[in-house]
Amino acid sequence: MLYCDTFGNSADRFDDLIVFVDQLSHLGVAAQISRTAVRAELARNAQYDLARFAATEFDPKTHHLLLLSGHEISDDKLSSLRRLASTGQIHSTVFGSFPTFQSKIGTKAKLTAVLGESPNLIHVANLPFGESVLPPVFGVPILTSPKRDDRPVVLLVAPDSDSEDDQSHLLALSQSPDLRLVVLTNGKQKQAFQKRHGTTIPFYNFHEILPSSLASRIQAALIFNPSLMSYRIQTLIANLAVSGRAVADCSPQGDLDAASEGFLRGPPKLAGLYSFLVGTLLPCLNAISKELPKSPLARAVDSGSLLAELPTTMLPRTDASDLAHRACTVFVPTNGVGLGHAQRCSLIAENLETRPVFAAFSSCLPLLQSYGFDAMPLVSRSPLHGREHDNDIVNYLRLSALAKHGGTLVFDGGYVFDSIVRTIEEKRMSAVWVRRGLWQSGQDNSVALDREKVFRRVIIPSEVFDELNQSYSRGAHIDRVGPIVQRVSLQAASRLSLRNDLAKRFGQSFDRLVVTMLGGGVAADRGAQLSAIAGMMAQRQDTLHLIVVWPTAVVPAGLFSWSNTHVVKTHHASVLVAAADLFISAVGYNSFHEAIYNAIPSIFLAQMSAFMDDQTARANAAVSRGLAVMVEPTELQTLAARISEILDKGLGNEIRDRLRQADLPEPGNRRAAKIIEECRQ
Amino acid sequence: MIHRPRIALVVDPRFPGGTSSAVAQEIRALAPIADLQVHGLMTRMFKGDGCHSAIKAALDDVGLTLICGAPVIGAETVVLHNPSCLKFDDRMPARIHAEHLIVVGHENFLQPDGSAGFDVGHCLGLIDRHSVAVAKHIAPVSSYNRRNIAAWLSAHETGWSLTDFDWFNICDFAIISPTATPRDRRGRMSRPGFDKFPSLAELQRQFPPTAEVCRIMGADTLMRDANFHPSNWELLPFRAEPVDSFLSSIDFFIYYTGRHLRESFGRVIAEAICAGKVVITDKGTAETFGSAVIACDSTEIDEHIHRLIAAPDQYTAMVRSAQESIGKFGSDHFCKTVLSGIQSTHAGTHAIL
Repeated sequence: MLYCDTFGNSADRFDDLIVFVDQLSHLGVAAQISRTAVRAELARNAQYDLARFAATEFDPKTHHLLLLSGHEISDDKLSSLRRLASTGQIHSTVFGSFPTFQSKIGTKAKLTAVLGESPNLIHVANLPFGESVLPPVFGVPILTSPKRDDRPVVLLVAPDSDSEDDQSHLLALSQSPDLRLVVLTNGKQKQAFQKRHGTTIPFYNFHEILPSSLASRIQAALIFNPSLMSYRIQTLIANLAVSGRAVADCSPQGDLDAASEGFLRGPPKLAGLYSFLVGTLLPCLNAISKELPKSPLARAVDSGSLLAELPTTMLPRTDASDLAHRACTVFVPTNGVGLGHAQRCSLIAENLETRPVFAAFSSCLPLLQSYGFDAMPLVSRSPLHGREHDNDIVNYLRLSALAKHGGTLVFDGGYVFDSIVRTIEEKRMSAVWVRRGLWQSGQDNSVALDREKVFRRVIIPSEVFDELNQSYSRGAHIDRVGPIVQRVSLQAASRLSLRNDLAKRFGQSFDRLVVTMLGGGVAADRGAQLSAIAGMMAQRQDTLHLIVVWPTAVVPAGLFSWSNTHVVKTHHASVLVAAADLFISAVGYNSFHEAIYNAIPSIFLAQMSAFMDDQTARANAAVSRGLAVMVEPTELQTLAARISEILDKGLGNEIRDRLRQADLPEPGNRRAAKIIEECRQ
Repeated sequence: MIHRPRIALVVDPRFPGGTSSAVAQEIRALAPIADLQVHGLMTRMFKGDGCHSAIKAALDDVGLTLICGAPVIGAETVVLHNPSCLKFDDRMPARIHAEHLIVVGHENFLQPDGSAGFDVGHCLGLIDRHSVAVAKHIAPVSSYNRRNIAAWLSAHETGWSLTDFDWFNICDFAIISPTATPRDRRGRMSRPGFDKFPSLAELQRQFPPTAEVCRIMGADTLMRDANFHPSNWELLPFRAEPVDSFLSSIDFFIYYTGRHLRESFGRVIAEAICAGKVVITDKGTAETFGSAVIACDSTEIDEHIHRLIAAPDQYTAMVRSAQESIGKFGSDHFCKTVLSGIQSTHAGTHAIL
């Protein structure tokens, strides 16, 4: 195992180390990053980047120390290395800029003194990119990530995008049927462009994605500003070169082209780009893929010379077998207010030909397991964590392990966590986003939509009523399917039998069955409404009232004391709802559509929070068609009247009849599963 | 008329350790018997324009001024101390015109494993290209240093020859009587460089928790992570205390360097002996001082210390004997050695001419 550290004492040098170690990992070289390399303040991306490689303890018997930026040797780092060596002499390899014999001798002497062994000191030239003080640039052959379509993906690195003209050219280029455009630039430019034009063009900022992941997603890169040539960019170019993917120098001076044979020369202005791409570059991609790996550029960044400097015991095993057959399909439902995402995923997953696995938050695990799915637990956010995304870093590691051999990832949720994005990118997964609509107006979903770029397909489960369906993004990768809904076909005999069982179980005969599911959790405290409904039901001798909650829900103690009311904790509420005469419910996607598709007379009490979907709009759509009743959560007198109308005055039967006659779209469960199957191929 | 040799000493006066101390002693020793100039060679090895206090004091004592910035240094014999100071320079700060140019090694040219101690070829080449002299010599500071330089010279084609005599460090330190009641009070002092210290495991063995006193001066790098070290260690920065004060607080001077460094002379050992201390060091470093020091592996240190504490007479006898043997590094002996050495060098050259 290589134990890697850097003498560089800046965020940039730490970033170099991350990239270097990630590159090694793609060569099959096991490498970790020393604790002493970790800076006190790491940017969010760096925290995730580090997570996979953070070392535990140093063991001089099994570790080989690898140091970058040896020319920046410092007493602080030497002191920490001396502590490391207190367990034994350390074998080491040091990369740095040592242009003179004396610079090499001086560094070597100091390191020998603290490590107890003379290091293997290597002067880094990185000639294809000019003299620099960066770590050795080496390329790793990259496999292609699954693509949305057959069009080649062209990456523009640091193009001018500030002016109106440049932005127009970019937008025009993004509409081309011949290619798909991706832009890599700094965070400021990305933000400015997206603020103005949305996420039409996938933008990455420099630190958002590792060169190995980015290279797998593109077929050609055009470099516009070589002055921004960080180690990341150089490594990206190296990966592309050894993988036979075109790299064009579009800088005004053609510095790269002049430095090494292997770069193509491209136009420095976006205005001339389309004709260059369509007329010159894209038709030659096949020829380039054959010739570029033989070029001086590719030879200069070949990993062979780097590996030759490492001890043979650290080199990758050559008998690595093809493990692609172990790729799996992973469903990752987020944890919303309830378990809607998990339930929707399980409804889709049960239609797949091959059984998938799940990665889910602990609240969802019993539900998924009750459906017969294997599920790996994810860690929920907690105020006990130091930073709000600490749990997600753990989840990232867990997902990386679960999807070790790649495959297909299906995410259901509104906000795409970093862990999801990174797992998809780094494991080159074919990714599908199940994204329910009906976002509230005024919600800022820019980050969520920006992350759409990592998904091959986006499945949008429709709302049953068409006016509720909106488009948040466009493209051939968007698939709108019918509502994902659990249909419960309860025949009259079965319904009667179930109701008799309930009467027996609760020791109470009844004529009317009312099921209440108001949701709750982090979104709102529904205790007052539940107590009020239980109070109303206590006065009805003919009614059995079931308050149905998820098994993980916390139920106010007072609810257990009402006559006629019983609390039921279950993952299988649907069948109880199907047997009910009245369903009093929040208006979440799943419960709403179950009520509509299973023809259950319902009173909706919308639950509204800034981060939720627009439940009021959803309920109104049904009410306006006479298919449900809605009551404001605070209007409890009205609620009592509506309950009576439905249970005692025939409104329930009227609604049920109307629902049975309603022309509803075909549920999308199977179609969604079919899309996922297509992505697996 | 008595011929007074005309000698120019050339040194970067900012060397922080033994080189400057040795040159200061030479100034005092040679000034009465030679026409002496002292030139400061301001190289890129050090920053600032300060001068080591020992050199400054010696110059004041003998009434000389440090000459800095002279474009040409001319004398019958020019003695350039420690050529490693030029390792970062592309050009010599001055030209040298001399009948004889003697470069005093000070540093070992090779490390114990045979690798380069510094870029000797570059430094000697620079001096060579910027000097005009009938003969150019390298004078070692000890017999080990002689073997070391000879090994380097034998592997490189140069016009440099090795002098027949050693340009040893003058050790004219005040002689202090040893204590009659030695205790387990240990200490060491050196420049703070990492190479001057053995591994932490070795250091912990040499300064164990059982010792009554463990004082380490020049511990600047150790102090960076002081929390990791034994609580009975007293860590002091380089030059935190006057040397005599520091040495007065211990009875045993324990001096081991990293195994990849070998002292060319070991001036600090002579200093400790004169201060009345028993010195324990490794066998290689002990070579210059022979039986004046205890040469042993660090695992044997405790045994020696306990033995001498139990037998104070042996302790005092050993120190007195060691102090006597240090006399061979006195200034009188130095003057005789180097002046006769210079003369024979001149005679040899004249015979050729």
